[in-house]
Amino acid sequence: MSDILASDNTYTESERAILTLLCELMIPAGNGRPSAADPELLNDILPRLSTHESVLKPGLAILATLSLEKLAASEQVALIHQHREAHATFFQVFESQVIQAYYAHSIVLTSLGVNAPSPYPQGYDVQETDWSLLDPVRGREPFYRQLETEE
Amino acid sequence: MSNEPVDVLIIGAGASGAAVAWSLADTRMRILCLEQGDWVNPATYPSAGPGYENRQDFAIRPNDRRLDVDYPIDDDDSPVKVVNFNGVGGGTILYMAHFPRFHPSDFRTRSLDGVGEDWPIDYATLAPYFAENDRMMGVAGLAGDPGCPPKEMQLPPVPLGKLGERIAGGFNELGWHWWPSESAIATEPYDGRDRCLNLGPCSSGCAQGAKASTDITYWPHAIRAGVELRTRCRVREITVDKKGMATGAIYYDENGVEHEQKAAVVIVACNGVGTPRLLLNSVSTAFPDGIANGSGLVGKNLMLHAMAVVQGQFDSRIDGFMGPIGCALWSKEFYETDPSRKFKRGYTMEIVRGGGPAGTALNGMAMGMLPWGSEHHTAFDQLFDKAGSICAVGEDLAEEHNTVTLDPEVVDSNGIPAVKIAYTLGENSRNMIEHAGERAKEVFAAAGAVATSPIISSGVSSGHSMGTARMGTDPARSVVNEWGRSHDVKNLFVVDSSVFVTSAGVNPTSTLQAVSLYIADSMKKRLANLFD
Ligand SMILES: Cc1cc2nc3c(=O)[nH]c(=O)nc-3n(C[C@H](O)[C@H](O)[C@H](O)COP(=O)(O)OP(=O)(O)OC[C@H]3O[C@@H](n4cnc5c(N)ncnc54)[C@H](O)[C@@H]3O)c2cc1C
Ligand code: SF4
Repeated sequence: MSDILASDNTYTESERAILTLLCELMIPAGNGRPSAADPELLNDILPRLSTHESVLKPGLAILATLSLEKLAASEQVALIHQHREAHATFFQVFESQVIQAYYAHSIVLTSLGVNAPSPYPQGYDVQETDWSLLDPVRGREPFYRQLETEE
Repeated sequence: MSNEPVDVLIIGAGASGAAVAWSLADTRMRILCLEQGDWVNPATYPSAGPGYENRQDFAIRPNDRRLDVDYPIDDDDSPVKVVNFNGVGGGTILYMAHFPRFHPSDFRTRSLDGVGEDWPIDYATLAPYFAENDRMMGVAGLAGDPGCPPKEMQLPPVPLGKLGERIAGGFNELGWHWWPSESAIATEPYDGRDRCLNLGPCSSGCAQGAKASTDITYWPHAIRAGVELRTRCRVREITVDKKGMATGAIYYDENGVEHEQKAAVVIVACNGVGTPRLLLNSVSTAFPDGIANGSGLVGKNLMLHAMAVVQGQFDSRIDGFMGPIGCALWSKEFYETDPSRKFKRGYTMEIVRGGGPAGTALNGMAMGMLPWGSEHHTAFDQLFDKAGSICAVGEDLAEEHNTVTLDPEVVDSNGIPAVKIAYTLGENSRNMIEHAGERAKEVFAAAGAVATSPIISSGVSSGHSMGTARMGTDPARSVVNEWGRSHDVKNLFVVDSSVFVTSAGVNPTSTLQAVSLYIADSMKKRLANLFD
């Protein structure tokens, strides 16, 4: 992991450790999908977080005082919840950046049945429509208001 | 760059500017169009690359995009947020290509229902131009809709998909009207465009080139016919002579260099926000309150549509991220006035397909439905590809206090004053929104949805800006006459939806393009005495 993170100097090592822990707490591995703290995912997430340094650094300083790493996972999540409201801007920015990177990653998209990395050029086959569904409507008389000049 | 005088200067290369340019091209006049934005290369559209759901440079709100070709729009004072695109194709680059026409009654709301004003033209006047525009854009749909006047369709309808079929079933259950939407989307190859691949995010540009944006429909034809289109040229003001006739325009090129372009005729096609901005910025001794503003109505009577959005959640996957996001089916059940309701006029219900994974997750997080921790994935799986929305587009009545005005403090990248929107939803619109939202919930319930969202009507986006330079026969009550010419300046025309007198309960592009073709034709028929 350090190889991947080494290229980004925006955050100190201890700040990166907190960000990684937060990623793991927010989106752990499950349902066939990786954790947001998986190195492949972090590789996309951290550069995004780096562009929000001014909002995230002060929040990280506060989180550093909580010694999150010493707590059990359930306690960590509970503590984060307590802080989410008090530090709403930090968490809004963090969550939105993690989501945008995580749910755009090819590994995640593929596991969801979505074309990766983008819909184009493969496109999708949408099922043929059964137009007999329209039969009840087809029998209806025109009901838009017809005006004399139009007739 | 040559600034030799031209016969016709068109300002704005969007939906209406493209149509009017193409139509006038056969006059063989020298026609120049100035557009503040660029050509967009389809290979750069988000759907062709990673992170396609979140590309800031293709955000629908100019205030989020913040490109130097955009101009700031302060819409803090409006529950409906203004969206657009500034470049060749204008709003059609990002539009969803839902392509309904105004109904005959929309042109006669005062005589029929005692609200709004009647247009000086009617549906029958526009019918041939609707048809011509459909042929140019290529409209997919199914003939025979009992909710609308008959028309020809060029292409087979967009498939409903699982989501559309579920919702159609809901309408059937209730005995309400629905019909496959008319869509400006090539469901088969059409006029050099390839067929739709059901990519989904049409509202960030169509990488396949199946969606009828005017950069790939009208413009190639207009340019081949001799029209010159100059991009990165932002018009600051329309100039006038001592007699009060327009003489052309002053614009800035890409490098901020000021140019003067002379023209015998000036046509404004900058949309319902950009057009009043330009007219109000065009101040002279002859027109101290802005050009063409003798009535004082430039920028007034803004209509953005009353919108009610309800999201429905299903218990199984519905392929909601596949297929044109805004085109599946519509319902006209509540379109025409019914005296038993608490509002006049009506609305169309339109289906919006579900978003992609990132959009779903962001929305879920914002609504508190996507937790941190071990429950995250299960909660996500309950949301993703299981939701769709019904968006009711309701007729918004013209009210003079709904305005576009110049912002005294904010300017664009060329130092030209930007705009402020002041807009409130009137009582008629509020009653309509409530009615529409409740009906949408009934549709979802009948379709077997497991949950529906509250009715969302505030903070919604609208690229439908209408009414700010309205058409009419009375110069005291309108800005342009019944064929688009300014009452005050006889060689100045407006062709976009600023000229709309009413807003109807449908998306405006089909109608505004028909209006611009009609105005172009009216000009052609009067070429010998255009300024009389
Ligand atoms: C996200 C989105 C979804 C939409 N979905 C639909 C839909 O499904 N169906 C529908 O009917 N409509 C839809 N619309 C609305 C549709 O895009 C507009 O109705 C249509 O584009 C308006 O056409 P217009 O010619 O009036 O203006 P525009 O298409 O906006 O074109 C105006 C052009 O003028 C240029 N301009 C402005 N000021 C200047 C200046 N001073 N100098 C030089 N150039 C200038 C602009 O850059 C722009 O290119 C949508 C819009 C958006 C943004
Ligand atoms: S769904 Fe069709 S029209 Fe929309 S972007 Fe994809 S290919 Fe284009």
